[in-house]
Amino acid sequence: MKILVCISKTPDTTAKIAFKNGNSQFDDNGVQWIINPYDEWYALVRAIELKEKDASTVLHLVNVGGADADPIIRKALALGGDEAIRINTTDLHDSFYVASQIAEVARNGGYDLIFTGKETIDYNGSSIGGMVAELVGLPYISLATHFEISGATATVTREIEGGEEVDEVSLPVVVSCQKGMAEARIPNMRGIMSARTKPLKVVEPIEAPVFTTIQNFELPPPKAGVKLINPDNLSELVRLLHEEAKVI
Amino acid sequence: MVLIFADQTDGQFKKTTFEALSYGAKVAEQLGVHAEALVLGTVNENLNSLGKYGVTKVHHVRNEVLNSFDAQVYTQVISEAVKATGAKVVVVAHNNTGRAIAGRLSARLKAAMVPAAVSLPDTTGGFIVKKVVFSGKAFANVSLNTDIKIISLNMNAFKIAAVEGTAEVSVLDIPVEAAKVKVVATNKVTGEIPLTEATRVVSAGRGLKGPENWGLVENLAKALNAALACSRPVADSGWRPHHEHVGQTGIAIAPNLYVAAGISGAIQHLAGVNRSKVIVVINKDPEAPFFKAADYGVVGDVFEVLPKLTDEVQKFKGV
Amino acid sequence: MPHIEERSDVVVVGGGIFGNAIAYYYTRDNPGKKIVVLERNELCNAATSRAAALITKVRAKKHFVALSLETYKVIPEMERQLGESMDVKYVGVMHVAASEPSVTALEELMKVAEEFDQPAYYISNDEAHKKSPWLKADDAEKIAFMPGEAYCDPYLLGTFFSRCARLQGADIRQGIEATEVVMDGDTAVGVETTQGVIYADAVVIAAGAWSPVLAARAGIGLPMAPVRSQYWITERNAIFPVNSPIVLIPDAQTYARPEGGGLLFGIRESKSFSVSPKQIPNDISHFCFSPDKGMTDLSEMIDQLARFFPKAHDIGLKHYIAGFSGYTPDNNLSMGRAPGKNNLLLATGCAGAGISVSGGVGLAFAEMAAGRDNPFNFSYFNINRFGSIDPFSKEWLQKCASARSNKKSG
Repeated sequence: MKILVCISKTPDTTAKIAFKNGNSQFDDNGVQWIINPYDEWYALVRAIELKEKDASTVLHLVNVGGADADPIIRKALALGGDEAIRINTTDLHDSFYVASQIAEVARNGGYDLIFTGKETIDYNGSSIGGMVAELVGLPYISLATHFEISGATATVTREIEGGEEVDEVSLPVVVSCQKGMAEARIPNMRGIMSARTKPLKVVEPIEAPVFTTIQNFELPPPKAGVKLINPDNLSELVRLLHEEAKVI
Repeated sequence: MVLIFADQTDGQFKKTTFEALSYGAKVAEQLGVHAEALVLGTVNENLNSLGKYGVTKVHHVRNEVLNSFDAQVYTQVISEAVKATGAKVVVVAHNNTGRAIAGRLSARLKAAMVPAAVSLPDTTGGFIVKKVVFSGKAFANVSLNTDIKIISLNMNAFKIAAVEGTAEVSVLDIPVEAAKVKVVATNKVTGEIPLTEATRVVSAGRGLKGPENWGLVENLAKALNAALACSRPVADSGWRPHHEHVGQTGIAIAPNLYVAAGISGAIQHLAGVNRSKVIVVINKDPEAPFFKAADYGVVGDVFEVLPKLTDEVQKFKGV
Repeated sequence: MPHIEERSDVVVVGGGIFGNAIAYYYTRDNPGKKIVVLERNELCNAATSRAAALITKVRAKKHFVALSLETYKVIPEMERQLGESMDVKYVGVMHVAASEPSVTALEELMKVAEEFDQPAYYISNDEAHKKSPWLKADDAEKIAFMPGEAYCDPYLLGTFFSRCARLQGADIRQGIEATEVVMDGDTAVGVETTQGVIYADAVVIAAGAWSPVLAARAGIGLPMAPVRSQYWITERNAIFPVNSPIVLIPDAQTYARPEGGGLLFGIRESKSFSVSPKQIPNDISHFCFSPDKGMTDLSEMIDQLARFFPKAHDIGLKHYIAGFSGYTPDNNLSMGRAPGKNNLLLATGCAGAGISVSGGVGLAFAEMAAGRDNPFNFSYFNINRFGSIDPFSKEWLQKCASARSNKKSG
C-alpha cells in the first residue's frame, strides 16, 4: 500500500500572532514553526500505525513550501515517513493553488490513501483534502476520527452533527483526519538521525490558478483588561459570564 | 442569484442551515438579486416554510441516493444545480457537511471559496469576505476573484433572521451518480469530554494548599459542567495526575471558559491556556501576573470564593 | 504618559531572579529604606523561568559555594514568612566520572565538599543505577553522591523573593522600562524610565542578557554575552523516578534531573550560540531559539550521552526549552561595582548558575547598595578582569559562546 500524507508548516500554537507590511502579511519574525498539529498528530501518526501493521506500506509526505519548511519535514520523517516531496514555492498562494500541487503529486504517485489534517491552525480552511479529491476524482471522507483498512476497503468513522457515522469505501480515498485517529507521538533521536538520510525531493510547482487573495489581516480588539469582581458579589460574575461573555 | 445549500440530517434542518439561509438572503439583498435554497434528498419538513428565512424559491433534488452523504456525489449534484440555476454566489454552512463539500465544490466549479466566513461580503470594490484565521486569534479579509463565489459560513457567525413569506418549491431533476461511500452505521456520541476538547475548564494551583482541598474545585467544575485541570507544581507534587497539567510542558487547551483558582500565572502556564476565549482568575494576590491575561478577576481567598461561586452557578442554573 | 520625578534609596533594573533577590535582602536588612525594582515585562519570565534550576552547592569553583549556601539558607526563611512550601526537591547529586581527568576533578570536588562540610561519599555503580534506573554506570570509574544538593522551580524561587520583598516594603513594578542610567559625571544618580526619572543613591543593573546595552550607555563595556542555554525533557517513563537524584556526567557534558516523570537533561553542545545583546527582542516569550528545537546540536552529542543513558536514542523528546544565560570567557560571574563609576552596581553574567547563586548575589548587592562591604569575595567576578572589551563585537560573542561549549560541570 502507498500512502501520501499532506503536511503543512504552521506557527507554534503559542506563537504571537502579529502582522506586518500594513497588515498584509503574517509577522513571522522569531516564530517557531511546527507541523500543523492535525497533520502530525492524526494524519501522519495514523499513517505510521498503518505502516507498522503492514511493513510493505510506503509512506510519502508532501509539503508545499519553501526551504524553511525543511526542519518540520525532517521532523515528520523522524516520526516515520519514508520519503518527502517538497513543492518548492515561497510565494503566498491560495488553497486551490496548494491543492493543485498536491493533486499533481497524487496523480503521478499511485497512492491508495491520501491523508490530510482536518484544517491548518493558521488558515483554518478545511479545504485542501476536498479540493485534492475533486481534482484527482477520488471519494473524500472528512473529519475522520477512526480509520481501519481491510484489503481494498477502508472503514472510516467521521464526525457528524451530534454524533458519528461509520462509512465504508473502496481505495483509493482521500481522508481528512482529526482527534481520535491516533495518539500524538513524540520523536526520538533514533528517528531524527535516520530522518537525515531519508530522501527529501524538492520539485518545482506546476502552473495553477489562484482564486482568492488575502487583502489584509485584522486582530480582534485587544482585551479590555481584567474586570475585577468583588468576592462578596459573585452573582455578578455569573451574570457577566452569562450575559456579557456568553460562556455559561 | 444566491444559492444556499440547505443541509439536512435525517430529513431535518439544523440551526446552521437557518444561519446560512438568513445570511444568503442578506447577501442577495445586498446584491439586489434573489436568494434560493437547494435541498438534497428526502425531507420531512414543509419546504415552503424555508421562505421565512428569506429565500424565494427552494430547488429540491429528490433522488434517494442523496439520503446518505457522499461528498463526491453531493458536489456533483450541487455543481449541476449551480449551473442549472445560474447562481453566482453559493452559501454553505461551515459545519461537518460544509467542510466536506466546500473545497470539492470550489475545485469542481473553479470558483473562489472562503471557508469559516464571519462577515457579509464587502462589494464596494470587489467581493471581500472576512474569515477566521489563526484559530480565532485573527481575521483575514479574503478577496474572491472568480465569477462564481462560494462562502462557507462559520457557525454562530450570523444571527438567524425570520421574515414573512413562503418559498416556491421546484423539483430539480439532476442525474445522480452512484455513491462510492457506503454508510454502515450512525452513532450518537456521549461520554466524558477529554480536557483538550472541553469547552469549559476549571483549573487550580498551589493556592489550594493540598490535594485534600480539591473537592472545592471539583464542585465548581461539576456545577459548570467543566473538565478539571491543574498547574505544573500541583502535578509535580502528585496532588493531581499529570494528564491534568496544562501549560508549556503539559497540554495546551483552548476552551471557551477557563477558570483558574490559586494559580499565579507563570508564563509557562499561560502558554498552555492563552487561547482560551474567556479567562477567570481567582487569586488572593492582586499582583499575580495571571490577572493581566484575565477577562474577569476575583481578588480573594480561594477557600471562600470557590464555594460561593459554586453556589451562585447552581442558583443560576436553578438547582 | 506624565513624566514623573521620584526618589528612592536604591533602584534595580530587571525583575528576574537577581533583581528580586536583591530587593528581598535589601528590605530585610534595611527597614525603612526604599528600593524600586523595574521590570518591563513580567517578573521572572525570561531567563529565570527557563533555567534548569539545579541549586548545586559543591562546585569546583569554590568562590561560588558560599553564594549557593546562602540560597539554601534563605529558602526556608521565606517559606516561613509566606507560610508556604517552595517544594524544593532535596534529591542529592550524583557525580559520574568515567575518565582519568574526570576522576581527578571529582576527587578535587570531594575535597571542596569536605571543606564546606557538605555530606559526600562514593557509591558503587550498582547503587547509582538503583538510584537512577535510566543511568548505565558500567563505564564509570568513580561515582560520588552528595545528598545535600537539590533543584527547585526557578519561577517559584524568583517569586518567593519578590513576594517576601513586597511584604517587607519593596516597590516592585512591572510594565515599566528603564531606558538609561542617569549619570552625573562618573556617579550614577538614578534611572530614566518610560514613565519618568527615579533618582537613587545606588543603581543596580540586573537585566540579564540585556544588561550590556544599558551598561554601554553608562560608558561600561560589560564583559558578558547572552549565550543560548537549552535543555530537553523526555516523555514519562518509570526509569525516571521523581525522587531520583540530579546526575552530572562531565564525560558526556551532560546534566540531568527528574522532571514530571520524565528526564530533564542539558548538554554542552559543541557549538554554542551567542547573540549580540542589541539583537535580542525585549520579550523573548515568542523567540525562536532553534528552528529544529536543538535537534542538530543534540544529534552531535547523542552517542556520547547514550554511553551513560542507553535509552537516549529511543526515548521520546517531549519538550525543548531554551533561554539566554550571560556567559563570560572564564565561566565566572561578571559582577560587582562598575569600574570607574560611583554608585553603580552590576549584578550580571550568571554563567548558567544564576538560580544557584541567587541567595548570595542578593545579599551581596543588598549590602553594597546600602553602602556596606560585600560579605563575599567577588575578586573572581571583577568587571575589569578582561581589560577593555567591546561586548557587542563578534569576537567577544564567540569567546563567550565557546566558554559554554567547553564547560564540563553543571
